[in-house]
Amino acid sequence: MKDIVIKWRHIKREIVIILLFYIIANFVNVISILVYKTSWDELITSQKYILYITEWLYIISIFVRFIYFGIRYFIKK
Amino acid sequence: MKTIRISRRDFMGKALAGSALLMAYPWFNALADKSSTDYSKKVKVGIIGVGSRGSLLLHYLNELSEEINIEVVAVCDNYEPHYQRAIKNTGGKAKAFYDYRKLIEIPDIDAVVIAVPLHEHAHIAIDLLNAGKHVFCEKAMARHLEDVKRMADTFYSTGKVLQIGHQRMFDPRYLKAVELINAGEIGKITQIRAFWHRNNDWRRPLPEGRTDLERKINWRLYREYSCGLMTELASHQIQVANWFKGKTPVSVMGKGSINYWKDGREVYDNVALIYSYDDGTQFIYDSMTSNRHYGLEEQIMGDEGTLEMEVNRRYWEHPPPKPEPPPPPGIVQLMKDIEGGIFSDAIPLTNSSWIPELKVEGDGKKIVNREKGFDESKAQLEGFIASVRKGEPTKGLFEQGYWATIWALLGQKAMDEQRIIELPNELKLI
Repeated sequence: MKDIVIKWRHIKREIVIILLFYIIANFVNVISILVYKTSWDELITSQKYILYITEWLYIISIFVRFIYFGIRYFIKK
Repeated sequence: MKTIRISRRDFMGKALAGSALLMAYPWFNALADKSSTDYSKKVKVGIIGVGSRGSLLLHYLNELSEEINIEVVAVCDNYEPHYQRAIKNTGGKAKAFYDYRKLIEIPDIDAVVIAVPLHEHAHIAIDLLNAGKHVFCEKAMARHLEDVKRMADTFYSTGKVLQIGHQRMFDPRYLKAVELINAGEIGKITQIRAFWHRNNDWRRPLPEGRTDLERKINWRLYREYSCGLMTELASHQIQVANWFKGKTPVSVMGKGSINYWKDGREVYDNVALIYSYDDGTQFIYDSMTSNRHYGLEEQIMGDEGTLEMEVNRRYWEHPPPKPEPPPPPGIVQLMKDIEGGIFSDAIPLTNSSWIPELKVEGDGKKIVNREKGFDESKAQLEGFIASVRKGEPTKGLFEQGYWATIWALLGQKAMDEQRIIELPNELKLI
C-alpha cells in the first residue's frame, strides 16, 4: 500500500486558505452589520455563522481545486 | 381582563358579594349573603322520582344536609328498584311512598324535588304548589305547552318557589360570560350556535324478561312522554341563548327526522332549527345521536369576540398583536436575501388574489378558572334551598325555565308542522 505523506508546507497552505476564508467571512459580517444596521456585538455573537461560512467556503475551494487539478492532469497527459 | 379562580364556596359567598353579577342575577343574593340567613330551622325536603337524575339530586341533598341544615324526610317512586334504592340512600330514615299524593299529605315538608319523567311534571308540580310546597322541578317543565302555562299560572297565583333545573345559571363560566357580554367584551351578539351531538341509542336496558317496562324506562323515546332531543337536551341550550341575548325568540323553524335509530322510537334522532330574535339575531341549533365528533357546545358570536361555553374559552376577533421578535443577525438577513434573490423567479402555485378564510388563529383564554369538582347541579339545589328559606321565589329565575321549555316545545311543533312558528298570545307572560 502506498503511503501518503503530507508535508508541513501543505498543512501550512491549507491553514492559510482557511484563515483567508475566515477573514472574508468576517468581512461579509461587517458588511451585513452596516447594510442591515444591526449591532456590532454580532462581530462576536455571530461567530457560529462565520465558522459555517468559512467551512462552506473551504469545502467549495476543495471542490474547485479538485476540478482544476484534474483538468490540468488530463491536459498534461 | 383578569382571569379569576373561583371555588364553589367562594363563588357562593364572598367572591360574588357586591359584584355586578349579584345585580344581574338576584338568585345569588341569598347565596352570597349567608351571614344574614337563618339556618337554625331545618328545611325538610321530599323527592319524587328517584331514577338516575333523581338519585344524583338525592345524593347532593344528602351532601348538603349538614352544611345548610336540610333533611330529606320523604322519597317517592312508583318503580320498585328505584323505590328500594331511595330508601337505602336515605339510610331508611325517610318515609317512602309509591304515590306522590301521600307525600304531599305530610304537613311539615317545606320543599319537594321532582325528577320524574317529563309528562308527569305538570300535574305533580301543580298539586305541590297548591298544597303550599316549594318545588324544584327538573327540566323541561312539561310535555305540553298548555301544561307549561298552567304551571306558570299556578306559580304566580301561589307565590311559592318553582325552580326549573337549568343548572347553567349556577355555573361560574356562564355567569362570567354574561358579565363579559354585558360589558361589551365580545361586541354585539349577531349569531349563536349550539349543538349537542351524541353517538348512542339513548336506550336504557330493561330488566330480564320485562319488555312491558319499555315505555316506562325508555320514556324519552316516545312522544306521549317526551319530545326527545328538544325537551331533554335542547331546552338547556335554548335557556342559555335566551339568557345571553337577554330576550326570547320571535319565531322558530326547523326539520327533524329519524334517520339512524330506526328501532321503534317515536322521537327524532336528529334535529336542526333556527330561532330568530327581534333584532335579527339567529340562534342555530342542531342535535344528533349518530356522531359525537363535535360533542356539546354553545358558541356565542359577537363582532368583537366569541365565547365557547362548554370548553370555557373566549376568543378575540382581533387578537392583540404579539410583540415583534428581534431581527435576526445581519449575516443571517444577508443569507436570506441572497437565497431570496436566487429563488425569486419561482412561479406561484396558486392565484394570490384568493386567500381561504380559515378559522382565526389563537387558543383564546379561559373564561373562568373553575375549581375541580365544582358541580353546578349541586349549586342550583343550594340556590333552591336559599329561596325556600326566604319563602319566596327569586326574581327572574322561573321565567328562564319557562321560556326555555316554551321554545323547546315550539321548536318541536315547527318541525312537526313544517312551518315557521311564532309565540302564541296565550303563552305570553303578563
